[in-house]
Amino acid sequence: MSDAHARPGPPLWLLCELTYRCPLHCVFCYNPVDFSRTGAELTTAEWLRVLTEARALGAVQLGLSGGEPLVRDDVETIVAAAHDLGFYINLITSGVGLNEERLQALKRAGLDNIQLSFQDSTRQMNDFLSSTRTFELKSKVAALIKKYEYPMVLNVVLHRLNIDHVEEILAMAKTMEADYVELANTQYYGWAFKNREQLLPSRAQLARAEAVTQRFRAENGERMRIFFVVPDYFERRPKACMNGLGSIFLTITPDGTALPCHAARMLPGLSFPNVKKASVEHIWVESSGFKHFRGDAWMKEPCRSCPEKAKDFGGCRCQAYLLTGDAANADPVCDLSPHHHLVTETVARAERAAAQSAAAEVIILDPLYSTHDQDENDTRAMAALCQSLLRLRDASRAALIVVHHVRKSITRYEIGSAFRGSSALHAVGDSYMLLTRPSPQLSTVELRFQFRYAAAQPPRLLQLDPQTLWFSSTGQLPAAETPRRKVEKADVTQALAGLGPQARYSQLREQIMDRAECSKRTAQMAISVACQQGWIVQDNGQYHLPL
Amino acid sequence: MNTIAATAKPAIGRGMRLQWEPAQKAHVLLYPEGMIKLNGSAGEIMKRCDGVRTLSEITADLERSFATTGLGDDVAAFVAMALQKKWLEMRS
Repeated sequence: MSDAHARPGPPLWLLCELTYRCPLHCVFCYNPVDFSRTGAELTTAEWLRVLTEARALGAVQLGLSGGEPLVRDDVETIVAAAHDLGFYINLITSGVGLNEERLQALKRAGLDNIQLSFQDSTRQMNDFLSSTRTFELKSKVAALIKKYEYPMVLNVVLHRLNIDHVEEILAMAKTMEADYVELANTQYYGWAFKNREQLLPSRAQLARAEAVTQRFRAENGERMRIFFVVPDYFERRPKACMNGLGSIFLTITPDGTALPCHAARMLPGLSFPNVKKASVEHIWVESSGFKHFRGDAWMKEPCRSCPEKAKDFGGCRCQAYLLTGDAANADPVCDLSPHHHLVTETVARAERAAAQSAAAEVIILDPLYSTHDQDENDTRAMAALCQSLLRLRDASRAALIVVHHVRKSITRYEIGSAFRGSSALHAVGDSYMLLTRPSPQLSTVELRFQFRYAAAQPPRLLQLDPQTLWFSSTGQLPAAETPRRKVEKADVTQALAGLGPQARYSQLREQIMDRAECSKRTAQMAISVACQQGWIVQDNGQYHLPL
Repeated sequence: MNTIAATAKPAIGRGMRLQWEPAQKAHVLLYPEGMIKLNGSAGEIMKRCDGVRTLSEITADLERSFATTGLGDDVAAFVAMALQKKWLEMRS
C-alpha cells in the first residue's frame, strides 16, 4: 500500500486559474456554479510568488487559464516571469481579448503554446453554445496564432449538440493549421453536471464520432495530432483522474485556494489551503487537503483489494462524491462499483431524452424520385420501395408524406391513381391529396382528397397571393367547377388567326387552351377534329386557315 | 526505417523544448500540454541536436565524452525514432 506520508514527487503540472471572469457563458463549463461567492483574485505579485515557489518544487508545465485569463492585463508580466523560471507555458483561452498586439507581447515574453477553444465548427452553434457572438473573432485569432508561429491546440468540448459535427470540426482545425486537436467530451462537473441530461450524447452518436475521427486520422496522417477524450460515463473503468489526487497536478484558483484538481473544492470535509497564507511547498507536501487522497490508504472496497488500483487510483473523487455522496467510494463509472447503475441509468435517461427530442413526427420525402434509383414503371422495384417506406414509417413512428408526380394527363376524378409510374405506388398510401391547377389563367389550385379508411373530403380551392406566396382558401368557384362548354369551331379558328398567317402545333394548342379554358387533351382533340372538318389546314408541320 | 545521412543536422522539433530538470534529475522534452522524461542516453543525444552539428559530429562527440566507440548505429536508431515522434526535425 503506497504511503500518504512519504514525500510526494513534484507538482509537474501547475494550473493557474487567473480569474473566473469570462466573456463566454458555456453550458458545459466546469467552473464552480457559485464562483461569484469566491474571494478576491490574487495580485500580480502573489502570482509571481506562486510561480517561483512551485518551480522550486519542480513544477514545469504551466497552464494559464480561467475563466478567460486574458481578462487580466498582467498575463504578459506573468508569462515573462514564468519563462525566466523555466516553465513551458500554455495559455488556455477562448481567444476573446487576444489581439495582434497582445500576441506579439506574449511571444516576446516567452509564451510557448496557445490552446484555443471553439464551441463548434459553425458560427451558429459556436455562438449558441457560448451564449456569445464569438465565432468570427475566434477564427481571426486562430489565423493570428499561426502568423506568430505558436503551436496551436484547438480544443472543442463535445456533447450531444455538437458531437455530430466532428467531421466539420476536424476539417476546420485542418484549415486553421492546428497542431493538436482535443475533441474533449464533456466531463460532468460544475455547470456540466447540472446540464448533463441535455449534454450527454447517445452511444450511437459517440460511436459515429469516433469512427469519423479514425477515418480522418487515416486520411490525413499525423501532421495534426487528434486526441479524442471519451466521456467516461460510457466506460467500464474509470479514468486515472489527475494521476491520483496530489500526485502531479496542482491548481491554484483565482482567489489563491490550492486544489489537487480544479473541481476538488466540492469535496466535503477537506480543507484546502490558500497561497496567501501558506507556501506552495507546505501546501503540496504537508497540507491535509493534499495528503488525504494521496496513496491508497483512503480506499474502500472494491478499490482497496483491486489489482487495477495502481492504474486508475479508484477513478475520480469528485465523480464518486457527486454520484454516490461519498468521495472515498469507487468512481461509479467502474462496473465493479456497486453504484455503477447510477451511471448507466443516467446514460439511458439521456439516450431516451435524445431519441425523443430528435423523434420526427412527420417525415417528408419530396419528391419521391430523389429517394431511390429504380425504374418507376417497374412494379417489382416499386413494390420493394413501398415496403421500405412502410419500414421507415414503423421504425420512426412518424407520419410519412411522399410527394410524387402525376401522369401527363389524368382524368377529372382520378386522385391516388393519378401517380406516375407503377400502380404499386397507389397501393401503399393511406391518404392522397392531389394538387392540380384547373386553369392556367387562374392562380387558384385545387386540392382533391382520397382516404383509404374514410370518405373523401370535397375538393378545396386555394388562392395563391403572388405578393406573399401564401395560399389562402378561396370561396370563388373556379373555372373547373363551372360546367365546361364545348370547344367550338370558332375557338380553334380564332386561336389560329390570333397567331398570324401560320402556327406550330404546340402554339396552336396553347392558344386554344387559353381561349376555351380547356385541358391539353381537349385542345388536341379539337385540333384533330378541326383538321378533319377542314376548318384549319396542316401543311409541313405548320397550321393555317384554309385559303 | 529510412537510413539517416551522416551529414544530416537534427534539431529539437518545432514547438518543443529540451531542458534539464533538477527535480526529476533528468532531461525532459516539453511540448504543448505534455512532457517526456528522457533517460540518460536519450538526454545526452538530444541535447547535442542543435541543428548545427551533423549526425556524425554528434556521434563523435558522444564517443569522446563517454570514452567509447561504436555508438553510430544506436545514435542513428534513436534519432530515427525521435524524428518519427517529431521530437527532432532535420535542418539542412
